[in-house]
Amino acid sequence: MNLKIVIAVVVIVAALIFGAMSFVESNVEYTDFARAETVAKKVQVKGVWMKEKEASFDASKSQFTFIMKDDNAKEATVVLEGAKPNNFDIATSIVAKGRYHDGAFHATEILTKCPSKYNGDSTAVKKSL
Amino acid sequence: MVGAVIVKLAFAASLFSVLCYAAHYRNYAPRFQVIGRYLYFLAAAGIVGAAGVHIEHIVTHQFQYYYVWNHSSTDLPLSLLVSTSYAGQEGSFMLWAFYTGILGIFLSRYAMKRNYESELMMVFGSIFSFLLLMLIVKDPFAMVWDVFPNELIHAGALPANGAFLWIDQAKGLWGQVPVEGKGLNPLLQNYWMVIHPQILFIGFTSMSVPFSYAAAGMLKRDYVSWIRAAAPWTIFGAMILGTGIIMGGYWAYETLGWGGFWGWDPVENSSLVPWLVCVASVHTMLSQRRSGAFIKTNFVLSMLCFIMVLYATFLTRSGVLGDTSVHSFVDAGMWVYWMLFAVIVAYAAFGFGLFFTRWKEMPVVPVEHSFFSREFALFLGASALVCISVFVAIGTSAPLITGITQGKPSAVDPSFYVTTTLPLGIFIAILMGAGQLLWWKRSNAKEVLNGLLLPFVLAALLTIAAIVIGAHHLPMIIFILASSFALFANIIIGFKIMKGNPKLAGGSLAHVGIALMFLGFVSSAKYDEKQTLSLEEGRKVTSMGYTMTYVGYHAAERGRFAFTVEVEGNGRSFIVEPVMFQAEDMGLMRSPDVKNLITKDFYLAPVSLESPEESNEREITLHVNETADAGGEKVTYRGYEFSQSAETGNRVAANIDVLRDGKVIRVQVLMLNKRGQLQFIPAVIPGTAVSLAIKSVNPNKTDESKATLSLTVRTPPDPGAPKKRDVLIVEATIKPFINLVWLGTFAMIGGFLITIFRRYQETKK
Repeated sequence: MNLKIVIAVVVIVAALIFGAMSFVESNVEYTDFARAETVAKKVQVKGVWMKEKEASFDASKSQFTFIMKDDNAKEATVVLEGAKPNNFDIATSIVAKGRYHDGAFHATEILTKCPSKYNGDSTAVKKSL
Repeated sequence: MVGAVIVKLAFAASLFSVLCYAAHYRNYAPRFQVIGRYLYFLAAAGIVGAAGVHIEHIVTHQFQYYYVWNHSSTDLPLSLLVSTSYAGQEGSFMLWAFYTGILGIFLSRYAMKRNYESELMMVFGSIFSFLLLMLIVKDPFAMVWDVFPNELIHAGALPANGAFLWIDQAKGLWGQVPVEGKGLNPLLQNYWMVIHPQILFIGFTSMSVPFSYAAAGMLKRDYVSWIRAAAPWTIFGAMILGTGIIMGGYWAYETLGWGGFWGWDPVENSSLVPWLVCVASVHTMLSQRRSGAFIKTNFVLSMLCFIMVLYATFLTRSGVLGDTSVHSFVDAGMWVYWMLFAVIVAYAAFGFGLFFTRWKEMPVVPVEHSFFSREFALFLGASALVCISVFVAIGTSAPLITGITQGKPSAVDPSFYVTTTLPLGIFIAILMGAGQLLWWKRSNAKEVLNGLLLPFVLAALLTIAAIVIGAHHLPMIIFILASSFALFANIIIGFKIMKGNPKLAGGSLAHVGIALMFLGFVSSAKYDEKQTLSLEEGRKVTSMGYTMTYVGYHAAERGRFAFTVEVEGNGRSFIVEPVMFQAEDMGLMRSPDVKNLITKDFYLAPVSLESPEESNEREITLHVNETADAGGEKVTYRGYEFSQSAETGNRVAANIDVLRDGKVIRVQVLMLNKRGQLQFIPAVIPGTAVSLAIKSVNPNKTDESKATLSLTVRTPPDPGAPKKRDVLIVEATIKPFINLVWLGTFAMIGGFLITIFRRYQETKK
């Protein structure tokens, strides 16, 4: 019986350590471009798209390239693996997830924060009268 | 107004019903049970009536109600109008309450026949009361001017035309009724919206039954036989919630264009967690009925099914996940946040409080720990399921955890879920196969190993075939081997059982389904092929063995555009038509098209349509008073004017002088910056086709002569150049054997149905 309890405890502890390690490893840290340049890990950076600067989609590589300014006003070129995301044009802020290397932030995913349909509704309600 | 009153009355009836049932439980007169029952029926009738009123408001476009204005519009067809009733937060609580109310009627009849009514219905009724209370807090019947008093409440003269309603006729106050609503989110304008949420909420509702039965069992001091009555409902919950989850996945895959059926998104995860717990409890319930063990485990798991539903609701509805999900979760407000939080604490405290006070009374039956017993396999399987649910729950809660530990909420990468669940998935697959070959209590090791031989050989052959056609990652190969072992073991056993008594084959069939799904997951998600292609109109492009030709687009329903692509390959030709459209609030929306080719899916997701510029663009940069050539015109930069107002925001107007036929013409190009939204307003040089627009204004504070203006100059195209064609950019994906997932789903549902029937019949004995 004791042996069984020992085995059970070992299995549970091993599972917990395994889970905790995977969690820490895959937790995508929130940071800025300055720090993103120094770490090799996948990070996420919040900021805004510099709409007035050049942005382009390279169909042959399926890469969308644009300039983004983080919350500390540092600008960086972001290369997204994929097309321009939905809602990108109207997003008030964006979050890019990826790694910084070779002079650009290579994003695998971009989340867009849109002006909520539920805020600033007073203009919407005026429109619908 | 009527609706809100009905909801309040239903809440009161439901609350008194709980009190009456509790009074009967506390040995007051038997008539309390009868009163409680009728009060419950009254409350259930109330929610049906309130839902009817709510739907009527939407169908008849009564935009004086905030919910109707906020989620509906006059251009929606009837089916979508009805689904609008649960598109918003308030409406989805109403759908949940609606199905809870109706399920409770069946449940009370069922429990009455099994002498469980008062105990069960006081717990279940309290859950129904909570949902009705939610509807009082998040009122779907709120008036639109409660939300916008400044814009819509007027006093004095009535409008000559336009709808209005009196608010206070004595004071002359009236509210203006909007003539149009904001409309339904375009992502939800789809037939899946009609069916998927209904199934999912019936699933959520079903999860409260095992909880109620567990609590009722403890209240009644019945630690054993409650399982018999609760089992069919628990299996029903597992079936219906499982169906809802897969359906959501199919919706995401087929219409929303997520590229796959599972994205480990918080919304998906939050229904997966209670489902895993529920499936685990189905197994431990089975075990308890056979051997008497797992008494405490069953109480805990049955209660967790519902507590996890509450936790999932909290995570996805309270706004705690914030920016970290692709779903934009509306911040529901402090009331909803604290109510959901309080209700988790309340039910956990009630359930586990009861559990620990009854702890010493519960009989203890030791678990059979022989490795060659089915009971032990079930124990391991249930543990693995719970373990997966814990990992998924932790991963989904990451924003909550990191918000506390790091101060900034951040999500985990989807790879977290794959890393943690894959080993457990392999383990479960092995148990699914081996468990079917084991007998209750103790099996003969030699006999078992003999039984394992045939399925193992078949699985090895299938795995070799998979390696030949392309599987190459070691963990995936092991997963394929384990899953196909589970598949063949269950097919072999299933046939043997089927020959004897088909009613007993439910378990095997459900396991065959799960094994097929596992194989489908690997083939379609791990070994898919994806290419981004530029399809120039009329030109053939060959990739991944298919020749694609974009032939043009045509208008589809409700302002959408379908892009026709002809595909040829493997001796077949077919047409796919992905859809794109511009949604008012949401930018460009894209929807893929899928062609099912039996052994694979051809999946084409649109990216964008690039129309070649029919004009030439050039950029020029000017200092103040500098002159340059712009499309053959002499233009001089004369500085800019800056102004600020609430109406236009920051406004920069650059003055340009054009010298034409000896005369100077002044044109102004504008740049507006309203709350960070930049807008450039170009100007056309009169008498020409040349247009100018600001590219950027670069002031220089120290030396004004160095300040510059960059202009974009557009000139008409060169008439001699060949006309360029549109280019459709698409993402083409081949998803091998994805049909295994759907086939497996049907097998799983079939297996569940057979088992429900069997367990239901047993409760009558």
